[in-house]
Amino acid sequence: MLKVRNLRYRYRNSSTHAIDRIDFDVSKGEIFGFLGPSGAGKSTTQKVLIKLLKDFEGEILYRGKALSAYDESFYQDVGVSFEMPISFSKLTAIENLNFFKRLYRKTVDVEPLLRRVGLWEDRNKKAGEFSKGMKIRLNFVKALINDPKFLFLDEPTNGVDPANSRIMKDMIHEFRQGGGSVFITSHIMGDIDELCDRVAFISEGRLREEGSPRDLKIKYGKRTVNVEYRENGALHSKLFSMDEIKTETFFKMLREKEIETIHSGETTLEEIFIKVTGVKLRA
Amino acid sequence: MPNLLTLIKAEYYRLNKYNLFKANFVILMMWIVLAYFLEDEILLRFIPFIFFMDSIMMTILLVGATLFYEKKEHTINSIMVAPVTENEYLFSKVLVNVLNSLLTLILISTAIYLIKEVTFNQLLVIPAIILVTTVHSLIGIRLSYSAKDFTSHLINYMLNFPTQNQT
Repeated sequence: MLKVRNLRYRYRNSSTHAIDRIDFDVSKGEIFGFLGPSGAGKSTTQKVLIKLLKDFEGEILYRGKALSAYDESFYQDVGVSFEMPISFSKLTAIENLNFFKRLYRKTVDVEPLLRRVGLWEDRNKKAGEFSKGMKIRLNFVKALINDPKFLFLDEPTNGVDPANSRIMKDMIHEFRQGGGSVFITSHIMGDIDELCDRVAFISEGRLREEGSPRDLKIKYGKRTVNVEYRENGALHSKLFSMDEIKTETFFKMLREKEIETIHSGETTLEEIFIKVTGVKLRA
Repeated sequence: MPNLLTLIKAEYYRLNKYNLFKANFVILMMWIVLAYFLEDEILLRFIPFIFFMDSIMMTILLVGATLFYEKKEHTINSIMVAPVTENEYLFSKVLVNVLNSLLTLILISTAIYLIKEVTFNQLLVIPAIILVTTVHSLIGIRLSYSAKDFTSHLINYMLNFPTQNQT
């Protein structure tokens, strides 16, 4: 669906490349996560992919055709949700959506989408009166109004309450199940872990690691199991390697001790990120 | 340009919603009141100034205000990732201003005809108004592009305006 090869981009007044020789693919029906700290090149990459920045080096193919060969019809096929709230503040939510709907050839009924994200009752309220979370949900609905095949989502759940964040993540999953592809950037590791089929870590404009969250966790995690148990009122812990858990020692402990917790040595995406880039996601 | 008409309609709708038409109307009334107090002979000499001043001033103000809002609310980003060409976007801004200037011309002309029975050569004024408004719409868009806010847009215009007149 999307193929990026040797992509480089340098801003006019900069001597260094904001993104430097990055390669990745996003397949049909795949959610691809793009992770990195501020200034790493995430937004620049997204801006290049949605044709807001044009003078890039390298190759980008969308549906087998060079991105630069597409005219504005490219946007008939994709939906974009920006991180910041974007809406005409003096227009109501429905007026905002109707304006954008008229720009597309194919559109969907917005009522089910607005109902789903909990904005239907507020559809006649001015967007300027919305909270940040409501504006972000409106952004998300706007990204879906043209029935896109590809979604570019920048921090889609940032500032959204957990209940609505859950709904939006379900909608992203459903979009994927319907054959849609998603390019998502986020700081929120839990969301990325939950949503993405594959992730790539970017730092200082370069891709440092790429793979499925599961594969990366196995690659960077410890193959250990830590057992915490209580004995004579005191808390103890014992670390077993994955090979040791098949042994009688391990089973004996489970049978005889008062076990409180058992944790595998699986790592988190955030820890992997710090390992591969040496940069913390949030200060 | 399949989306040009949609953009023009939406621009008009927003100008109304953002109360920018009201500001336009107040200026229009100001010109009519001024015309009422001028002698017919002076009015005839002064009327081109009214039309050109209004076209220039309102164009710069409306372009600056709409683009300022679009930048502040980031809606320009959304429009740029919609199936709208840059030409459609620019044309819509220019055409809305031209239509607005022509509407002002009609209203002021009608008002001074009714009040003073003064008429003038519309065939000369209309093309001039279209030209002046188009040029100043483009200048306004260019200045807004690099302006941080509405005030700096106006300052940029005031600083650059003498240069534009000389060239």
